Amino acid sequence: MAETLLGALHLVFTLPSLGAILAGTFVGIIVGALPGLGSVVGVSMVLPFTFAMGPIPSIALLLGVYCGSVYGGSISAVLLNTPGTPASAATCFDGYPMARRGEADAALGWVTASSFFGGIFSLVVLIFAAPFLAKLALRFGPVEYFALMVFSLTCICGVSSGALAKGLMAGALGLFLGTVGADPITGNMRFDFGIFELSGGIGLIPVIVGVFALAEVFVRVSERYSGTQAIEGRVGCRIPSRADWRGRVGTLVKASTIGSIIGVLPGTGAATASFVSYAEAKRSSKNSAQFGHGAPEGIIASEAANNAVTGGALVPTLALGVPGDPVTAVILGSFVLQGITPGPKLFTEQGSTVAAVFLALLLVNIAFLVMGVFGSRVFSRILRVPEPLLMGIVVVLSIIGSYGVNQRLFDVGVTFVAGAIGFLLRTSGVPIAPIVIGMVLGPLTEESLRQGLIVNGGDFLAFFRSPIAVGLFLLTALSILASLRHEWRHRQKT
Amino acid sequence: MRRWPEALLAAAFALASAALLWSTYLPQYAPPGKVSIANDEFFYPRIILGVIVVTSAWQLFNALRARRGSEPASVAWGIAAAVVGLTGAFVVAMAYVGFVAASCAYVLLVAVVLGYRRIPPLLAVSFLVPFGIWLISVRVLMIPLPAGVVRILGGG
Repeated sequence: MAETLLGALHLVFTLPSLGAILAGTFVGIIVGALPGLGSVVGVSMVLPFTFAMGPIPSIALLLGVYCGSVYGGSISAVLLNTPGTPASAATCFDGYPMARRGEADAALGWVTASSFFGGIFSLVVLIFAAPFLAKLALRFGPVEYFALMVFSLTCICGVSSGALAKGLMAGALGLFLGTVGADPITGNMRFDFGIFELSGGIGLIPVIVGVFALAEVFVRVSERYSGTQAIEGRVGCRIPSRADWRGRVGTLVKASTIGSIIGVLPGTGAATASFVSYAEAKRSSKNSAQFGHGAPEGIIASEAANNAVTGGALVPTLALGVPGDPVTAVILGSFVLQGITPGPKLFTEQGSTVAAVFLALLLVNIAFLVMGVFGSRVFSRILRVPEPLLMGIVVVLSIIGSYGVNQRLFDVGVTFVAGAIGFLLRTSGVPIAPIVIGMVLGPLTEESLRQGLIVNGGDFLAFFRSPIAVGLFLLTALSILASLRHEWRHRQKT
Repeated sequence: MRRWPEALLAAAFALASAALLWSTYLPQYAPPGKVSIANDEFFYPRIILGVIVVTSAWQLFNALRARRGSEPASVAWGIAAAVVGLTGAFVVAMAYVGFVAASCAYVLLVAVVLGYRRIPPLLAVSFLVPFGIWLISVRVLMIPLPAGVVRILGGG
């Protein structure tokens, strides 16, 4: 044990490894903060540099970009209501209102502290529970995945309180947008209207950028526009004090647990984790009415969960050699290129390498905490830019983010249309978050439903024979009942 | 007082989704022979479109029976329409005049439409920010942005 740890220290505390951690985290934060460019773009961008590096520095660089980009996506979510990555979309709900009322420093503090805790929590999970969680993930077939997706969809009710009909309508619209393009089972085209660009489906990033960033700009300019002043507020990053955490530690631990577990399940991802965690935090909070108006619990739930996914996603990658998402697939590829074969034998035969990966992940989390605290002072100066100038810059950045993913002008058009529709929906009081939730979860829901039916010969009752699925369906029922009760009480009050 | 914009939006959603739902039953989408539900590509979209029809109808009902005083806040439609129009023009112009020229004009015009009149910062931001974004995108992130007429003039 001591020998393994010493070996890991020897591998990580070298100039190339430490340099890779710092450079990777910095690049990750920048790439993550730019709307549209997420973790996949970040790790793909630095991948060629790893060919000339040793195994540990190259893994450290990729881990730095991965974790840094998940964190960085929240900075633009808080300051501009523009999630840098889909994983940070739920952070907009409370981070942006907090920044608007002049507490950007506090919002960034909650983001940074929660992200750090979520990352460290998932690292502990990765160290102690990797083999157990990898086995649990293997028990998830299409039936269990479908049940998990149905439960995740209940968070649409959570973010639509007081406007349940509108929220469900928007959620169904998001689910429908997820069906456009090639059918996942047969490959036949659906709702493409003969437009070639729609054959690959409607991109998630262009829609997210449109309904959040562009719609926000359109709403802001239409709201009793009052002139040329900038938003007043404190700049920097104010880490919450011990008193601030009182009554919120439970949310932090719960969100980190949800993120770690969802991260372990292949194909789910940080966006799903943050939405599920947000909905659960709102459902179980005594201050649920504050959610959506700048509640710290909302930021904690979203941020701790999406950063906890990073460690969770490495569980099947390291323990089974199965990548959970495109980012871990790139990291897995880098392991193989460096002559390291992930799988059960990795833990027994190359203990020092595994320990070095854990140590690098710990240092990456520390690096983004430090960079977040000091860098936020620079980032939050964005709010000092007069709004008429800021609005144009936000649109230009959003358009670049949308274009940068596939370098298609068609995606820019999708962003504009999504922005215009998002504006109309918002002015009509329709919550737009359910559209994104529907688009994120819809394809996974359909695929698991139909795969489950194929595997079980079209028998719907098979979905109620799995204990895991039944448990998740029960949670779904409880969640829907809680939402209906909340809606009924809201109607009684108004 | 009925909320007409909301009612119209809900009605549009209901009609569009009903039309799409109906289109999935057209003969050209009917698979040859009998296929199982799992292999029917319109099985899941039909459920979703059905949900949109029902929830839109529910929303339409809510909007039509809304009580006085529950209408949403007023919207400055003129400014909103101007900025939406400028954004649409920016998206179209980007393909023809290139990213940098279109962005410079867009940032400048939006600020002017929104009432910003301090010329030095306006010009500095309008020209330097798009150029900086272009530099980072093309030189650092290796994202080739539309060059438009610049490329044609350069013979590229």
